[in-house]
Amino acid sequence: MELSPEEENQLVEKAKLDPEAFADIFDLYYVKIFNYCIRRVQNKTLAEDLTSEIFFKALKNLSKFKWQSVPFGAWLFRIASNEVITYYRKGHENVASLDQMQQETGFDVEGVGDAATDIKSEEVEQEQFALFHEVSSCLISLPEHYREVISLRYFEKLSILEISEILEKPEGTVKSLLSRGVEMLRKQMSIKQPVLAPNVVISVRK
Amino acid sequence: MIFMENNELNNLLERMEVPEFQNQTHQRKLRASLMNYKTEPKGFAFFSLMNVSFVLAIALVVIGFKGLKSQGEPVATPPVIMSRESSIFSTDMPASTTPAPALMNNITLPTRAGGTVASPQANQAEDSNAKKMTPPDQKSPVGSQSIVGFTSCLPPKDTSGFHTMECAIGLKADDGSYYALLDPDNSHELFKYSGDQRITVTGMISPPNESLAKRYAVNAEIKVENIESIK
Repeated sequence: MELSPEEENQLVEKAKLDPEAFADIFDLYYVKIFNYCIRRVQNKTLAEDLTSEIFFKALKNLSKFKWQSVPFGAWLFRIASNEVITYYRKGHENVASLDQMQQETGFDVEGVGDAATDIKSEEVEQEQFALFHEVSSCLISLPEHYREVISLRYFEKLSILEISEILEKPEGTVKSLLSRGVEMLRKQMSIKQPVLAPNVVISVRK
Repeated sequence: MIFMENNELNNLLERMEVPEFQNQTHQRKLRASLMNYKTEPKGFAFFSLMNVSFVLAIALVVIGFKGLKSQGEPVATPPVIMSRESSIFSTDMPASTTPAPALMNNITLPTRAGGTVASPQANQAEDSNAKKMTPPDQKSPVGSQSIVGFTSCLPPKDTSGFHTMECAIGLKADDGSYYALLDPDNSHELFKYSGDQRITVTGMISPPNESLAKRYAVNAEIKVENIESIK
């Protein structure tokens, strides 16, 4: 369900007075926030913990939110971004790779349905997400501020304006960060070329 | 991949398909938790704890300060003693902190029956209870003064048990208060003055030392400078 900015604003204002109204906001944003977290930390349990923390903080600080500065979604993603940064600053730089993630948590990163973990996604071919797998594994070695913009731009499919609102940085700065981030990512992917899926290499050579 | 340009990779990333995950179990549990969440319990509890801690800390400081005062610790005001020579003691000073004047050391007071009042050194072991005998708030005259009254045996504090005829000569002032008379070298021949003789005693007045205060109900002690008989 998509809401217009005005409808969303009304919902947020209602939730400020009635905590139960926050449930509607939660339903709107849970999947987005959980996916952002799991793509950033690549660990299901950790993503659940972070998602919980993000929504609790949002509920707790809802009265401080003002629509004039940023849209609610950007405000929520700002909390999420800060939580992930805090997680990495606590010394969790070396997160598990996607392969490790699958082995350790049983989480199906490819989105194949897994009854045990109650994770459902579309039935897709392994190759469909091969580039995502490769980018994710290479992102780990990048500095956090590059990881952040690349993730928001290419994983969450947010616009430069939305990213600038979330990160509270000018759009020009976001573009620069993206440009340098992609350059670093390209170098990382060149190093890791042997592990790329064949179809990815072929598509690049086109 | 080394031949791939940034814009090529950028285009590739723009078209990149990203898996989307759902976690309905967690979503359901988290939703329920959020609905049961009361507004800012953690923050409230934290600040409440901070407030209580702050009030307790202030209370402890105040109680500690009062405790020190009640234990007779010297305080800045009023001044405890200005100088030994002037023998001016604070009348508010507790007996336990009053330095015993050196005047009483190694002297004996003649008694009417020929006995003596023991010097403070002989009774040091008994001095521990002295402060009970002289209330801290007892007002005593200080400085060099003249007191009019009659010579009298100082009234003992302990009236129980066996009594001797021992008499420590002192002065019973017209207002009924008793003063111990100190005449270290016996130059004033206190023994010459009988109980029915009205006299004026001039001397340095100070609070009674602990030994005296313990044994006799005296208001102060007078280092005798002069005695005049009043006819």
